[in-house]
Amino acid sequence: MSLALKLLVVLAVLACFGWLRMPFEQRLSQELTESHLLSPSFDRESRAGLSQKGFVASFGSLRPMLAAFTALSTTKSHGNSDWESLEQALETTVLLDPYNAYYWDLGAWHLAYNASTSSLENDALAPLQRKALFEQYIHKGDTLYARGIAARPRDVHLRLERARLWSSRHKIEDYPKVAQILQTTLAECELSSIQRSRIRGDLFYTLLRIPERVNDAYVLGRELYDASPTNRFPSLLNGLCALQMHPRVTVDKPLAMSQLYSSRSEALKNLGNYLNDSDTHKPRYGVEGLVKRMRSVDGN
Amino acid sequence: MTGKGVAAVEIVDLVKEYPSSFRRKMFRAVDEVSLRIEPGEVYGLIGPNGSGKSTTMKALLGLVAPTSGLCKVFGCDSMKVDARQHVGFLPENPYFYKHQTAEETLKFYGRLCGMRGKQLAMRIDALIELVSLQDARKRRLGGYSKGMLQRVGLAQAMIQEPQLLVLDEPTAGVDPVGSRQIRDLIFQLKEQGVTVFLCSHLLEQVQEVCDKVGIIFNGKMVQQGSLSELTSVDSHTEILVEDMDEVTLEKVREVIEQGGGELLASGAPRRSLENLFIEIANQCGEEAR
Amino acid sequence: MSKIGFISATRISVIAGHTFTQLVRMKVFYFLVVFAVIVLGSQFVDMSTLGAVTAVEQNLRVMKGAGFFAMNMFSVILALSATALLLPKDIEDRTLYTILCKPVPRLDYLIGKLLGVISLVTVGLLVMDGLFCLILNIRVEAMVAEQADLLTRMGRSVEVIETHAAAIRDQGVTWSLQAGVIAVLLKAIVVASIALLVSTFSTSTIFTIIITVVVVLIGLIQAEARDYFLQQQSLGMSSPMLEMTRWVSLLFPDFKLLGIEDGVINGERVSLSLLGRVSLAGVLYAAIYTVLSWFVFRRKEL
Repeated sequence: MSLALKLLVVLAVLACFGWLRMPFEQRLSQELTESHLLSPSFDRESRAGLSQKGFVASFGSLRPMLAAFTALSTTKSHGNSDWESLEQALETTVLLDPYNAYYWDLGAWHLAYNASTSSLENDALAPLQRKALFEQYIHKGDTLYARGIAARPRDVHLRLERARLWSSRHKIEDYPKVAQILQTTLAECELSSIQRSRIRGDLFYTLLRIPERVNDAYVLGRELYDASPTNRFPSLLNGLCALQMHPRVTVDKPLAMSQLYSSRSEALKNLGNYLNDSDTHKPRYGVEGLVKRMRSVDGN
Repeated sequence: MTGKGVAAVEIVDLVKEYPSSFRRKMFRAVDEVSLRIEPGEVYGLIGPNGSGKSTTMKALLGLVAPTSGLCKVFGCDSMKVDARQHVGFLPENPYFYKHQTAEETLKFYGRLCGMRGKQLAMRIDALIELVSLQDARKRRLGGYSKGMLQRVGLAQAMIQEPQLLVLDEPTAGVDPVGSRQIRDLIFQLKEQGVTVFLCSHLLEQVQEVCDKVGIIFNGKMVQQGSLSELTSVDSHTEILVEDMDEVTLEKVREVIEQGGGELLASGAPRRSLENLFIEIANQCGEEAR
Repeated sequence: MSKIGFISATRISVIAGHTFTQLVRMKVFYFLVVFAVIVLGSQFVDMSTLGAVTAVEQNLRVMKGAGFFAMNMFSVILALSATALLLPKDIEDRTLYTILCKPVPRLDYLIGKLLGVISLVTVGLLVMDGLFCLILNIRVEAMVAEQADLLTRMGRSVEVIETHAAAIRDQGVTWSLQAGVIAVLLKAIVVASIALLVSTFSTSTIFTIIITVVVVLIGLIQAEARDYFLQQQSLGMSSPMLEMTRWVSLLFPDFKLLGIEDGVINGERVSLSLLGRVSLAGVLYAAIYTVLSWFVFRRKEL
């Protein structure tokens, strides 16, 4: 048999073998991608964008390495306030290593915090432009968090960072959004008891700040109070005290002051701090009156 | 099968063709060569470079597939692996793995033939002594001379005590002393009943050791037969005498002429340069001791 | 004359052992020094921009990425170059004649050579893995201690500290990490078997290396070709491009399937079932290429 004929036979055998293994490989590949053991394939556009990097990136753990190097380049862009280059580098990074939560976190942090603040302080822009860019970058950061959560649904940190963004006083406060994020986290993620307790506490503080949901905040607060004495931080107790006096909150068995605070002076101190807090979203209905009454009794 | 009546080597109408560079026509390297070697014979295949000797050997060893014809070793088709159980081969200009010592090389080939343990160790010791490589047995082959490599080659060819030894230019690159040793070894093997099939350009050596000779030219076997049949000059008679004076020689000449013959030549015979070399080498060896 | 078996484990092991020794004496293991330098150097990479636990884990990911990259690079280069060199060298030096003139079937010779190279790569990988795990573990424990100290000073509870420690150790030496190393070995085995096949008909070492590299590179995008082909086929489409992707997906191996170490670097767990199936894929590839090598080589004129 000539060499040419032998090679034809080889190709024919490989083709048959290929045909037989295709369904098995397809299923296995799918399973591996779903388990995040394989990164998703690049689509044509992405591969074109990555050019040669994309071609060899699939081999030999090069993708995570390339992603790490591209992520490092964001430091330089950050230093130069070159947000466009930074965004491009971030897109390349998350394309190469989409299952690494760190890069989504890093990217969102750069855009939502650094880029937005830089835009707001950019004297070269008109005030309206600055505000528009400021908000634009915050939304871009939020989009990165959302994409990261879609890629890593079990990652709790990304969700909490996203919630933190929308609860930041220096950004755009959106407590209903924060509440939705935290509730989804509690429903969808596997959490340790400490994590669950902490997130429920965060949810309480968030619901506290949403006028339409103060009743939900009280119900949750009481659950936290009843669950364990370790949950009874001053902020929880202050919140419960304020909510008990709120007209929208239905209270069956309100907690007595002695159950909330160990002494009158402690109550005065904590409630005083609560009133002096600059956060205007916290409900204050009845709290000022209560503090005045307590002080007048003491004054006498 | 190595029973009576089965030839050690049987090649019948062997043809081997190779495609030429431009694939227009085939080049015939071996053209209907036939030969038969009985067990215990020493057969020499001689011919100029490119005459088809190596190709014939390769076909016998299964390294190339015949285009047509058949090759058998002790009755077994040469293309089958079984045929090589009792065959040892020394290629022309043998090259072994440089990273191994002589001992490791022999052990490797011995194990490939299924030998192991004490049997293999003893065989290695015996062969190393036979080819006079005791001093260099633990040295890597990368540091060996051509002659030493040839001796290692011979040793590996004999590792499994083959019944057929195929030697391609066994004395190439070997000094006259070594060459004589190889020749003596072939005689020894012949006495042990081992069949030897060799190719050589050194016709004098072929003449000394071989029982049968085949002459191959341009891929064709032009003549073959026993050495005595091929080399005797029927019309001439040779007589070698000692201590004959001129008067007696003259009388011998007269007797020859009376019988109708002719004295063609007389004089002191020459010893071969090889014999002289060996004599001197032995002398020097003794003086050194 | 007794019959020689079609395949003999003894003969194969003799040739494999010989090949292993040959390659070791070529001082190929010196690359391990370079590997050690890479792994040691990677521990000094600090990506703690955010200064949180996730940044600590990222440093470990970078370290693992560097380690796996080096393991992949060295094992594949070793497998490719060693295999591409062996057969042409044996033919050129005519050492192949002396081997095949013994009762050694050509299949035994090929399998022995391949197993010799695989043994070499396996030993190299074991050493690299051992070194890598040792350095990674030292780094992990140092980080755990650092974080524990930091969190204690911040007044965090023992449970919180232990949770953080567990998160860090999850990025350290785990059984899934070893699954990643197995994936690296499988890749090297497949590359070696492809190189073996090419060398049976190739005329030179360079040609063998080039063709094998091309096959591997195409194999990296084979999965995309396959996905595209199956998707378009289900839509009832047809085009020359589609035909090309069909042939790519049929003829070339899916190297991406063997790349599970990317997920391992991110701390993902590898189940035994998945590892088993990935290993089966790798072994099947190697087997088919070896059989085809024998098919081409069995009547090769020497």
